[in-house]
Amino acid sequence: MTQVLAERETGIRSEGQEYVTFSLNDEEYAFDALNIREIIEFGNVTKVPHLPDFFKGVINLRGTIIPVVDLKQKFGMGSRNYQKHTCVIVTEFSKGVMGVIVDAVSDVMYLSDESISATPSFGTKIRTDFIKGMGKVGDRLVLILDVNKVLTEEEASVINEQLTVSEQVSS
Amino acid sequence: MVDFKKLYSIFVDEAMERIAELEDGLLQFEKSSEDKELLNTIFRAAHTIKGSSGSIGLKDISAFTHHMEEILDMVRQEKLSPDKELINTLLDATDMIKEMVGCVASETVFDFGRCEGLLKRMEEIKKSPESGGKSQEIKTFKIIFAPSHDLFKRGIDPAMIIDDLRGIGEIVSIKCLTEAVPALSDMNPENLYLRWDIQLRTDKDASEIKNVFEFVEEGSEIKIFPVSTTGKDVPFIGKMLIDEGVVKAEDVEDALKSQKRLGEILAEQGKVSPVNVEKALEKQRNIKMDSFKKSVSSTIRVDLGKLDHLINIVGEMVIIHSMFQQAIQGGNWLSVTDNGGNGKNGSLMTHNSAQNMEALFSQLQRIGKDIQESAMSLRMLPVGEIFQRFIRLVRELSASKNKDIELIITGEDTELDKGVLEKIADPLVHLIRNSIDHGIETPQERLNKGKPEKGTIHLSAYQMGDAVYIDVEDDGRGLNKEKIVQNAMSKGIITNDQGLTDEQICNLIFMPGFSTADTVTDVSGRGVGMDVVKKNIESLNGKVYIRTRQDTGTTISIKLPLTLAIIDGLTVLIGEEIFVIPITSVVESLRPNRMEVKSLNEKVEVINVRGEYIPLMRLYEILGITSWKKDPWDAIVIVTMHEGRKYGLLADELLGEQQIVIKNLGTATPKVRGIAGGTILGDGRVALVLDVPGIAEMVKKQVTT
Repeated sequence: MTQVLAERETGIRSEGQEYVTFSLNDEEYAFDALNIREIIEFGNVTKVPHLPDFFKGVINLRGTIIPVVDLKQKFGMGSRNYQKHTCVIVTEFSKGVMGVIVDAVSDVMYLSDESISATPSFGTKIRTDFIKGMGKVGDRLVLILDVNKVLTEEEASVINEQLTVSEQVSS
Repeated sequence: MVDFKKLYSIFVDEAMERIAELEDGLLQFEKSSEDKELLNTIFRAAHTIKGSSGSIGLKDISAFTHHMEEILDMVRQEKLSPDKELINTLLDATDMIKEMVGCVASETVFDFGRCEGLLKRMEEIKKSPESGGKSQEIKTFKIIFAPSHDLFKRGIDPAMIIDDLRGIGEIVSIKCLTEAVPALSDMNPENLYLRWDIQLRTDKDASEIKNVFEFVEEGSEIKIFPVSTTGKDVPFIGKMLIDEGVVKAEDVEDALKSQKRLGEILAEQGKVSPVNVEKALEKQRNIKMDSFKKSVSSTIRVDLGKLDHLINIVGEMVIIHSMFQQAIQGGNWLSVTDNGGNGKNGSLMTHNSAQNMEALFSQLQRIGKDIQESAMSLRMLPVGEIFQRFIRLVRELSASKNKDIELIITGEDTELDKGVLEKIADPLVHLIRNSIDHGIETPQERLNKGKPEKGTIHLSAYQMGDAVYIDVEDDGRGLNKEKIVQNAMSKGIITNDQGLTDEQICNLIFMPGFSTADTVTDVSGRGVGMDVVKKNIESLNGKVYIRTRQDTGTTISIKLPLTLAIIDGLTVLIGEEIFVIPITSVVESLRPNRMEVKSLNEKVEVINVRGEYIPLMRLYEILGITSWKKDPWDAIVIVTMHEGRKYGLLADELLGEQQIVIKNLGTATPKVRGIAGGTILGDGRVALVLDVPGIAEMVKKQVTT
C-alpha cells in the first residue's frame, strides 16, 4: 500500500490512471476505474433464457435492470462456485451498463504509465486483444483488461466458438 | 460561441407550435371569417415564426413567412377577402414552412427552389384586384428609430428591424446618427448608442410600420411621420419584393426557367426514369419527415399546474422526511432519559413514538403514491394534439372524393401517455381515411337513402375505468357482412360461415390477408391494411372493437391502456422462476383433463377447450427451464390470444395478478425472442415479462414446419 501511495505521490507529474483490481482463480486482473460505476454484492440473479452460458441473467440495480456476465466462464476458466467474496463490478461501456461477476475485488490503485508494460504475446490464458497491458505493482503482475473489448458481444461469440473448438479437441 | 444546435431545437419546438396554431387557425377561419380575434391569432403566429427564424439567422424561412404575413395583414385590413384559394394557398405555405422547419430539425438542406410556385401564388393573391384600392397609395415616411440602450442584451439585432422595414417598402435613405456615442472611456460595449433616421417609401400606413417595431417598442423611441411625396412611378409591391434580392425580375425568372433539378436532368439524359426520380423524391421527403418526428419527440411540454402539483408533493415529502428524523431522535432521547428514571413511563413513550412512526410511515406511503401518479401524469398529453390534424385530413380527403363530410371532435382534453399518443396517430389516419373512402356515401346516395347530404365522422376520446377509448364513428353505409364472409371464404381465411357471430364476422376484416381494395371497397368495406391497424394497437396493449349497422354507420373503438409503462400482469411460476404474462393477451386459465390433451405429432400438442383445439406450448421448453410439472393435468394452461388465434401456454403454477412496471433489460442485454422486458417484484427480484405475440409466432413456425 505504501508503494502505491508513494507511486501516487511521485506519479503526479507523470501520466497515469486509477485501476480497480480483482481476482479470477487467484490471478489478478484490472479494469480502468473510469469504466467502473460501483461494486455490489452478488445475488438474486434472474436467468434470461436462450443467452450464452456466461450471461448469468439480469439483476435489479436500484430500480434499473442490468445484465450480468460471469467473467470466468466467459474466459473459459471453469468453476462457477459463487462464494462470500463473489461480487459484481458494475461497468459502463460502449453498449451500456453491465455487471461483471468476479471472485473478489482487491484494490483501487494508481498505476503510472511507465509501470505498465506491453501485452505479452504468449503465456496468458485469455485472448491477447482483450488485454490492454500488464501492470507491475511491487513484485505482483496485474493484467489490465479492456472493458469495451471484453464485453462487446461479437468478441464474446468468438470466445464461445473458440471454447467449443477447444472442448472438441480435448475430448 | 453561440450553441446553434440548442437554439435551433428551441426554435423548432416553438415554430412547430406556431405552425400548428397557424394551420388550426386557418381551418377555423375558413368557417368563421368574421372572427377578428382569430385572425389576429393567426397573424401573430406567422409574425412570431418570421421573427424567431430571422433572429437565429434562418433568413429564408423568415422571408418566406413574411409573404404569408403580408397576405394575412391585407386580410386583416380587409383589403383581401379570405376566399378558398387564399386559405388553400396559406395552408400550402404553412406546410412548406413545416417542411423547412423539419429540415432545420433534421439538419438537412431545404431546397428553396420548391417555394417558387407558392411565392408566385402568394404574389398573385397580393396583386388581386381588391388589394389595388386607394390604400395602396404609396407614401413616404420619415422614421426616427432610437432603440433603448439594452437592445443587444435582449438579443435583438437592430439590423433585423431595418431588414424588416425593407420588407414592407423601399428604404429611400438611411442615416445612422452617432451623436449619442460616448467617449471610448465611458462606453459600455454591450450598450447600443446608435439612432437611425430612415426614409421609407411604402404603401402601408403608419400603424403597420409601427408593427415592425413591435418587439423593440419597450424603452425605445420610435417616431413615424408621413412625408408628402409624389408616388407615381414607383413599382408595384410585388416587383419591389423581387428587387429585394438585388437582381431584376426578368433575371430572376429567366434564372428560374433555366434552372433544372438534378432529377430532371438525369431523367432527360435517360439515366433514370422520371418515375424513379419521383419515388426517390418521395423517399427523401419521408426521410425528412421521419427524422423530423424523431428530433421533435424528445422533448415534452408539461402543463404548469401538473409540475406545481408534483413540486408541492415533493415539498410534503421533505417535511415528512424531517418529521421522521425528529421522531427517531425524539424516540431515542426519551428512551435514554427515561431508562434512568421511570421505566414505565419510558416504555409508554416509546410505544407512543412507535405509533407516531407508523402514522408517519403511512403518510409517506401516501405521498410516495402521489408522487408516482403525478410523475406519470407528466407523460400524459391531451389527445387534442393529434386530433387537430385530422380536421385538415378530412377537409382535403373529402374534397378530393367529392363528398361533404364534417369532422366532429369531442373529448380532446382526454389525456394519453405520450408514447401511446405518438403511435396512435397513424392507425387513426387509417381509420378516418377508410371512413371517408368507403364508409360515407356520395351526397347523392345519401339523399336517396334519406340521410342528410352531409356526412359526419365523429372522433371522440374518453376515459372509462383504467383505459382510454378513442372512437371513430361514421354515419356511412356500414359493413356489409355478406360481402365480408364471401371475401374471407374466397381468400381462404375461413372455410364456412357456420356459427359465426356478427362480431366474429366483423373481426374478419382484421385478419391478415383480408386486403380487399378491389372487392369489398367498392361495395362497403374497409380492410386495406386493417390488420396493420390492429397490430399497431395491440403492440400498445390496446384492443379494437367494431360496431356496425347496415346503412346507419360504423364505429371503430380503440381501447388503450392509460400508460405504456404500467400494465396488469398475471404472475406464473415455471420451475423456480417467476414470469409475468400481460393480462391484455390472456383469455382464461385452466387445468385440462388428461383426456383433453392430445399430441398431433412429435412436435405439436393440442388441448381441447370446450370443443376447440388449441395448440399447447410448454413454456419450460420454450424458455429452456427445468420444470417439475411436465404433465398439463398437474400444471396450469394459460390461454392467450394473438391475431385472433388462441394459444395455450403451459406453466407450473398461477401465482396471481398484479400491476407491474415494464422495464427494459438494459441496453447491453441481447434481445431474446419471447421476452418483452422485465419488472421488479416486491422482494426486489427481477421477473421477466413474456412477449405473447413473439411466442405465438414461434408456435406458428413449429406448427408449420
